Amino acid sequence: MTAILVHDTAGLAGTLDAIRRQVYGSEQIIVVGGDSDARRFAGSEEVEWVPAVSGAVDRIGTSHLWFVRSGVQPRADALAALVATATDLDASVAGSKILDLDNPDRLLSVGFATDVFGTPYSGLDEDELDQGQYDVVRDVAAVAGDSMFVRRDLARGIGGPDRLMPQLAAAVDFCQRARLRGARIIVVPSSEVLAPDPGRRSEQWLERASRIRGMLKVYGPLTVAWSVPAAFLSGLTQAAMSLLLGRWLFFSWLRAWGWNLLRLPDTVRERRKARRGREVGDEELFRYQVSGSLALKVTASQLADQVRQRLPGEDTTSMEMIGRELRRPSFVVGIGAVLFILLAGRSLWAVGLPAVGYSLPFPDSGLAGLDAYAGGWNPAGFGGAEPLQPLIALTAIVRLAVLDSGRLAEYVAITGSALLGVWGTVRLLRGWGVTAVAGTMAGVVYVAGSAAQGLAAETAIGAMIALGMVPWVMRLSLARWPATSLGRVGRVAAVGLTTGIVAVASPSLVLVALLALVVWALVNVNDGVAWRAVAVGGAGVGLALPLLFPWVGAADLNAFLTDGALYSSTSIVVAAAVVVALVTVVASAPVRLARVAGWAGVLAAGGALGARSSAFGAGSEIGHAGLALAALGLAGVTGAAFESITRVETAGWRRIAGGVGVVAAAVLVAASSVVLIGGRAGIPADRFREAFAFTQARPGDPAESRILVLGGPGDLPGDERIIQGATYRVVAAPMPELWEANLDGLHLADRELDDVLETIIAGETSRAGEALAPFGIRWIVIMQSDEDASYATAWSDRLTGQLDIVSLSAGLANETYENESAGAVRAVTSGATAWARVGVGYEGTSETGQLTVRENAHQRWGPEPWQQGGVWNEVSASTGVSGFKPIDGRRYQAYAAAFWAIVLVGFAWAGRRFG
Amino acid sequence: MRRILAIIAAVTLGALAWIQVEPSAPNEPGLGFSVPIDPGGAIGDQSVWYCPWVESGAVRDSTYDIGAAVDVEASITLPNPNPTLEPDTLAFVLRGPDARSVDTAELARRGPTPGIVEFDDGPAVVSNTMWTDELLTGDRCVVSVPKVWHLVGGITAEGFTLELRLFNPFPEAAKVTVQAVSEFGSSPLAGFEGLDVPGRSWITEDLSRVIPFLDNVTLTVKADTGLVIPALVLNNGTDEASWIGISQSATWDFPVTSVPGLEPTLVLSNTGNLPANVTIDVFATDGAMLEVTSLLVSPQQPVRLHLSDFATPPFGVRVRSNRPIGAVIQAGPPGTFPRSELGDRPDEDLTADVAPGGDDGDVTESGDDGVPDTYIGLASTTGNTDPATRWLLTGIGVVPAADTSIWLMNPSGDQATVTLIPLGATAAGPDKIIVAPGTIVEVPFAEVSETGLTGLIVDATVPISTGLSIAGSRGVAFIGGIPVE
Repeated sequence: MTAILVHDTAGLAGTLDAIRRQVYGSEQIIVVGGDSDARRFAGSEEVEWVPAVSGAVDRIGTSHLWFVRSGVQPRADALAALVATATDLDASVAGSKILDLDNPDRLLSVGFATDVFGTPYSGLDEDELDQGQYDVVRDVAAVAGDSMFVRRDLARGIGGPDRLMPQLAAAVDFCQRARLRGARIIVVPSSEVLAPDPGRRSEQWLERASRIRGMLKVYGPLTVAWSVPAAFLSGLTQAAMSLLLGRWLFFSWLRAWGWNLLRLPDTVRERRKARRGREVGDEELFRYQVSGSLALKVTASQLADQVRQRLPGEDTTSMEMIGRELRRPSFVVGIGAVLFILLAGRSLWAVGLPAVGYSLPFPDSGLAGLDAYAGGWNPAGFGGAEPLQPLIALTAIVRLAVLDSGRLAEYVAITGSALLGVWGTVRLLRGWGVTAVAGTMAGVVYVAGSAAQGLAAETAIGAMIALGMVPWVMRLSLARWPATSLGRVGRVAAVGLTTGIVAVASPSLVLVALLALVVWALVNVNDGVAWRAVAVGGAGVGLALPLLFPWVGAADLNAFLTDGALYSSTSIVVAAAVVVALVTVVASAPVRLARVAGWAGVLAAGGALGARSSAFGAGSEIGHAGLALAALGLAGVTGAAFESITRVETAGWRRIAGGVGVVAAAVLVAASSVVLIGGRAGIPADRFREAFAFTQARPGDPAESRILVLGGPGDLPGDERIIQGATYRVVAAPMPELWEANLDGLHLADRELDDVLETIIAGETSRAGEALAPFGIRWIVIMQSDEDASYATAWSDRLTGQLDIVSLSAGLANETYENESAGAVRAVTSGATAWARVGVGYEGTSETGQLTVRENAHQRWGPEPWQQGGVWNEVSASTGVSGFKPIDGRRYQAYAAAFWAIVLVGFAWAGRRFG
Repeated sequence: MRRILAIIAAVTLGALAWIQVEPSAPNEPGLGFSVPIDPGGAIGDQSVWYCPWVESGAVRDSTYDIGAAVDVEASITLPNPNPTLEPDTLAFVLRGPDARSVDTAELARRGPTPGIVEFDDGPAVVSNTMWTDELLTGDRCVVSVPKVWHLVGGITAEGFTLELRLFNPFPEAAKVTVQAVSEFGSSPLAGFEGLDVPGRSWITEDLSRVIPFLDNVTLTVKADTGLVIPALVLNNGTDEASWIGISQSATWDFPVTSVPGLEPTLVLSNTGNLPANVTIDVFATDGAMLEVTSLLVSPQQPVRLHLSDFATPPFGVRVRSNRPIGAVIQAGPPGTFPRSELGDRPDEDLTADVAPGGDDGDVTESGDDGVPDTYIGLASTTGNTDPATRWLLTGIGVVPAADTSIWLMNPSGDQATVTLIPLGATAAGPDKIIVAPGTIVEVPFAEVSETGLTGLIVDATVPISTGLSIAGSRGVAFIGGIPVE
């Protein structure tokens, strides 16, 4: 019996003829599927038509079926070879060798391997000719759906190919399901089938979606648990990489997952069918799979090809061309700038962000970071329901984009931002007549000059990330206004999107680009373009604000903007260099460049004022915005100075003045090289990794406990609490993460700890360990300060005479104590079993009793029943997992913000593509 | 024009930025970080007391004498010298005001048994007594632990043995440096720099072998890391005296200086860099003798004064100095303590001024027949730095076959009405006595087996000083009273 699966009626007649010419004749031919044309054709050819494969399977009495796709033309002995070989080798599924219908010498398929994501891999080179090199019967992961010879009982058991899937994915899916039933799948090269070349189609969303569906259907729960998230990230990465190939796969990726989400109930039903009666496990499927992601490998390979194409060929002309390219100053300077950034961030590549001040490692899971941001638990200190800053969501997304590698995410975020900053500065200044060399110098000063160093010294990670996007906001606002409405909408959306990224990274920087545009418009007061850019920038700010939800809806913005005090100081040499460069360029440069320098001078001075504005009540966040403005200003001055000297109209005294300006600008560039020291992008050296690393060497799981960190102002990770002039805070062991940096107000547990510390300071207890154990504090670290040892000495004096804390200081840089009292854990069951922190929740051994979660009491901790036990939470320990139930309103706001971001991306893309 | 405007704007903003003042640096750690607690004073809250020199073995018996003015949960912990073994502990509740004497042998009988006593509330205090058939000693414990201690009154002359006990009750190992000064100036102590004292343990050093033949030794014990509580144990072959380290003070009160048969001496030590001008006031049962002597105590040169040169015992003593000094009272049979040259006397007039009203004191008699017994022994005690209106005294009557007296010294110019509130298993009620201005009063008590009384709360209408003497055929012990907040 032969079933012809109809996808296209165009080749149906030829296929039917070819089947009828088989030397091993079919007992019965049935046309399956297709529209009314297929049905009419079947009637005219006097063959049976059924709408689905199941109907065909039910109708026949033979032992095997031969599925042949319409449009293919099997050679006359194709079926005979399949029958003979499959019978001899007891194979349940046998496939044919597929040759190109238009060029029968060209191989299209001799069976497939796949990766774990179901992506087929033929192993053939493009245009590889059939010279009999694969003519051996082999076991394969899957065979092409063009010609499949299948045992009838197997077909009855697993059903036919999935009708929702396109041909290739359906064939792979069919073979996977067959293998689960213990079927042997072979390819029979002596069975040749000519088929039309499907062509090198771009990534199709339905193929991707079908592969996801296939995974959900066949894999066991454990494999699904890791392979599906991996497929999600792999697809996202591929979409990102494809941008470099000029392809936009993001929507394809998104659509594929959306399609699966909608069809999840059906997929679950199909999964039940597929896995019912399985004979083997996933490991049997893995035997025929290649490692890694084939899709990623292909994309990477295509990227490599593209790079190779840009390299010189064998001919002399192209060598000369590349030589000329390499000798161009802009190329040399550009490469130098990239090397500069990479060198400046080399330590980030090796160990990630240094743990110092507010610079802490990104949260240990991207998904957990997003979950906590979207209405989840804020883990800083003893925790609270206050929203985390949007930077946490951004870092989580970056982390997910790099396959949840924290170190890589930190490197990408900081150095990527710096590269974007240099690039953006070049593009921004180019619009004002500053060429690439001067622009690149300006870019280096922008991301590494004294203002940027000020941000790094403040460990303002968010502001450092945001800095990279600010010039792009300006560039997009100032760029030529599109002619079409869609283009204009897209432009505004693009400005909104880039402003949104700035705001999410550092909300206080949201107005920096707009302020710079306003100053530019004032300097060019008669320039309509400049004022239009102000309007576009303003609209961008408006569009960006929704991206800050849920944080902006619940945060105390006044406290956010006024907390802390920043007083940024710069060396007198740098300040003098700025003044000299500014004055000389404004005085001597051509008008346009003089305006750039004037604009930059106002920004630099205004930014410096902002960075020293604590006397006006401004907090450190406003100081960060001031530093960002100053960075823009320094870049503008530098760019204008370097550019002015290249202009022919700069002659006579102007050239001398310009020369002085260039020397001053060169001082600014040279001063930027300070960030090369240490390779941490200017961020101070690590303090807390070394200080807290000992916790991992102590017995037990450090994630079960907390560290009490003591010291003086500025000595501790992130925000500090003050007690009698000294500082303290609690952090998670073994290492605090970025989401712990910002503390909120005092809650119940915080107040209680404050009281306990007062008692210790007053010398009213000699068992500090016993007093601190209920807070989960197992270790105490006194941070030593090189500048002022009085705080460390004061704390040390108070702890030395305690009876139940043991000094661990031998070999450690900081005075360190361990609590000897029992029960110094963050979460403990009524059976005295400690649970460990995982993300912002807890996991441990399930018990019948209660679990005391030593986080500030909040009724959303679960699982039920919840009750408040003192200042802590008491929940059920029955599930082995405890967590905070997200606050619905904030979660919806987060969804809305994400949706809004997608809308902005969509409009920006559409405006650029079609506008 | 725009160029000029831009420059003006930039310069203006830059100048504004330039003149901004850096925010003032945060304050240093507050007062709570720097105020030391008097090592000898009881506080009205939870507290931990450290008792460094106690021993309990086949020959020696000792007690932890505990008193509390309020309900307290008390816990005695005796660290085990073997770090692999758990310490011996005893926890109990005192329904205050109450006192209890705990026989150390109830917890351990293994020789040296320095201990820690913790109270969850206060005021509560601890002192120790220790005796054998041939010796008797006692002293109060300390409640806080400074980094630097002074131990005054050491003797390594022939016939004496002097031991230094360094007790480290804390988990962290301590490293201490001990320095000695004597009548010959600084005396090097070989091997006493960076001395290791393991955590939750103690060491005992025989100083008689290290610095022999010295009549007057003052030790300074400084903790380089960690903390220790030091004590000196002096033995003259007939009795033993034990006393703990002290901080320095400009005023010292000694309500008890001798019992019949013993000659009182006062040892002064100035470890500062400048001479201290010291004045001695004597308060006898019949009145005060102010400024019986004044002397300059040179730095690094301890001085011993034989107080019987100034008045006939019994009497109390107040030491006043223009600089912080250390002082202890030591008493022994005549001839026990070598005589040394006095310090330079700024005032040669040694005539004592008798304060008016000295005859108004209401003195109890020390014996049934009014005639005091004569004792042989060796006693030493540290003084009180300030008079107070409330005191807790423990260890009363706990030593078998010994006479116990409390001593009340009123150094003020006002009459003190003193209420004695008995503590312990006694049905006796409070008793009131009058202490005339500038006098001392001795109040004897019978053994605990007769009275059930082991402690006293002493309330006075004006600030006074108190002390305890225990004397019998075994020897003599002086114990300082403990002021209560």
